[in-house]
Amino acid sequence: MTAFRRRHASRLALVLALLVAVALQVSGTNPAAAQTTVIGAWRVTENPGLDGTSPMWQGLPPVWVAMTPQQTTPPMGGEVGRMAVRAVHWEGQLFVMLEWADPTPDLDVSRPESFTDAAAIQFPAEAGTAVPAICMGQADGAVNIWQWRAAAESGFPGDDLAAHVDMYPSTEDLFYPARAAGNPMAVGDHPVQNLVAGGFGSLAPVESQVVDGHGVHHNGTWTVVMSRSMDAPGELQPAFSNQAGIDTALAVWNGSLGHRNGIKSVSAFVQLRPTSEPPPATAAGRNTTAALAGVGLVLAMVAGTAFVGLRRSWSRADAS
Amino acid sequence: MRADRLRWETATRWVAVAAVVELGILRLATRTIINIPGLDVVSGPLSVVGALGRLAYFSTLVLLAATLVGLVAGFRPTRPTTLIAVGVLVAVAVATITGVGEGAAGWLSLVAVVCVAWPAVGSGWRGLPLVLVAGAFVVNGLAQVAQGAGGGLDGPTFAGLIMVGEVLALAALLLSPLLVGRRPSNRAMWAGAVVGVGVTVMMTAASSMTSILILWSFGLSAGLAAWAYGLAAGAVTVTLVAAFQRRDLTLAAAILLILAGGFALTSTYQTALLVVGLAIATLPSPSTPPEPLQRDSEPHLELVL
Repeated sequence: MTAFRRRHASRLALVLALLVAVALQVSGTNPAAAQTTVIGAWRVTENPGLDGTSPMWQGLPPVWVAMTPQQTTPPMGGEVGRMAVRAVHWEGQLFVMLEWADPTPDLDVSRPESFTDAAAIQFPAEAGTAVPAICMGQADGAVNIWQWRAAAESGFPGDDLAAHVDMYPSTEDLFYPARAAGNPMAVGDHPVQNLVAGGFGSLAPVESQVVDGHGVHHNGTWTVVMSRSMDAPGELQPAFSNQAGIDTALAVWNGSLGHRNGIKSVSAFVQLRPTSEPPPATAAGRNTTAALAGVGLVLAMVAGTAFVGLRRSWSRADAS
Repeated sequence: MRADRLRWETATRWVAVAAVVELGILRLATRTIINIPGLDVVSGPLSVVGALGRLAYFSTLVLLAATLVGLVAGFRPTRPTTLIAVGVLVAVAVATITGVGEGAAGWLSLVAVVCVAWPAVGSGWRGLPLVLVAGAFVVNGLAQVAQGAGGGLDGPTFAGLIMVGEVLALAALLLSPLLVGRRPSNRAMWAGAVVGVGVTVMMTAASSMTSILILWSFGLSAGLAAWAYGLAAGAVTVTLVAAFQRRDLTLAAAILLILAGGFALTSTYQTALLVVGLAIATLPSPSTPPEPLQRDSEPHLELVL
């Protein structure tokens, strides 16, 4: 083949590749697939309940999800490095349990410098659509967020009244305008807020607050269970179907470290996948040996390669 | 230089260019731009840029497929480990698309990366960065696949795997100048210093998005000291500039493909980028190979694209 024909053949191949790429883009055909962490939501035959410390929940092996400080938009921060996630479904109800280390339960938000512990789960508002922006979604890709707050669960407890100079009657709506106006941040009748966002600054509660939840602080660890019907309860709230995974992101706040708003730890999107299978019978840690063996193999490969390099360097030094 | 080798280098160069455009637009620029307020007025041009990024993504996919075919069909004698890696990668793609055997796809991806990096194992200093790249990917991947959908790792092991994977990835980047095989020029060193200081400053400054972009784009948690990432970025810049100065565009393409592939199990697309990058990085340099990388007989290319 002459150089001229070879050059033309290469160009033709490139044009063909571009045409195929355009066809894939126009038709929306993506032969690649995500390989993220998968959290199985297993089918159980008894009501798992909302107490994450129960034997049923603690008997399930967790899937660990890495968390990083939120550093996309100010205010930034976050210190929780990892979160354990378990999920089951029972009679059409999805239960997701989050567990993370936090030495101090922060329930008191009566002072300006006090902040509550909290955790949140985020889903695309419509299952099966393209993954929205992880930070509160975007205009054409909203997200549904379930946020549990420790202070809301405990009815917004305040400091000891003796510490206050003025003794307000305290209980009347007159002194609690936000509560009187029905602000869900102040009402405190529901530990989990069901929220929708379509970009920064658009986070708002959904009219139907249908997500149940309960948190327990025990031995320096929060366990929080959130639950909702697998059917979509309304607009911009996804349905969860068997065998179909849904993108899921997590967030956690530690109140005593000043975490609030954007100061939180967040995960990348992982997959929550309801399945008709029962929970795995084996305990957590069953694959630890395999993982450590894999690390050993990698370190042996690295050490062997470095050793050969060293030996050659020594040989050259001897020769010279 | 053989004409078929020239054609093959052109093909890998196009894959690398398309992957870098995709990385720059889809994984870095659009993820940054979305956080800038008041950009609605330029939403039209931005959507055009986004469409170009998606075109680059699909172009990379098509060119990747062609390069994978070339890896199998173009080399004589074909490396068994490369054949296995490409075969396993195809099996992973089929499993993730059809859902058949999807549970094993993560493990198989790790096998593919180990296989394709195997010629570098025991090959001396020049192969060490490539072994470290594969090691980082495998260890980070283990933190994911050893859990499965139903757990299976305890918390300290999970955290330890993430940390070891991070250290191996940084070590791979820091030692990447070994791939060039000779002392880099002063110009390369200066370029590395500028990039290294820039990355350190970006990661130290509170207003930076660098950490989250590193996580999303390269699979690293960015949990270590900022200067470590600065040094790593500087070192890989030295390697890239040195490769360009030596006109070793195959090595430059390999490094760019490895960077675009990342160090964690993210998608079949990124795994394929890493496999192709490692495959061409383990080939002997056509100009001045300082040390033979492969332990089996030297392959030569007959046909790609």
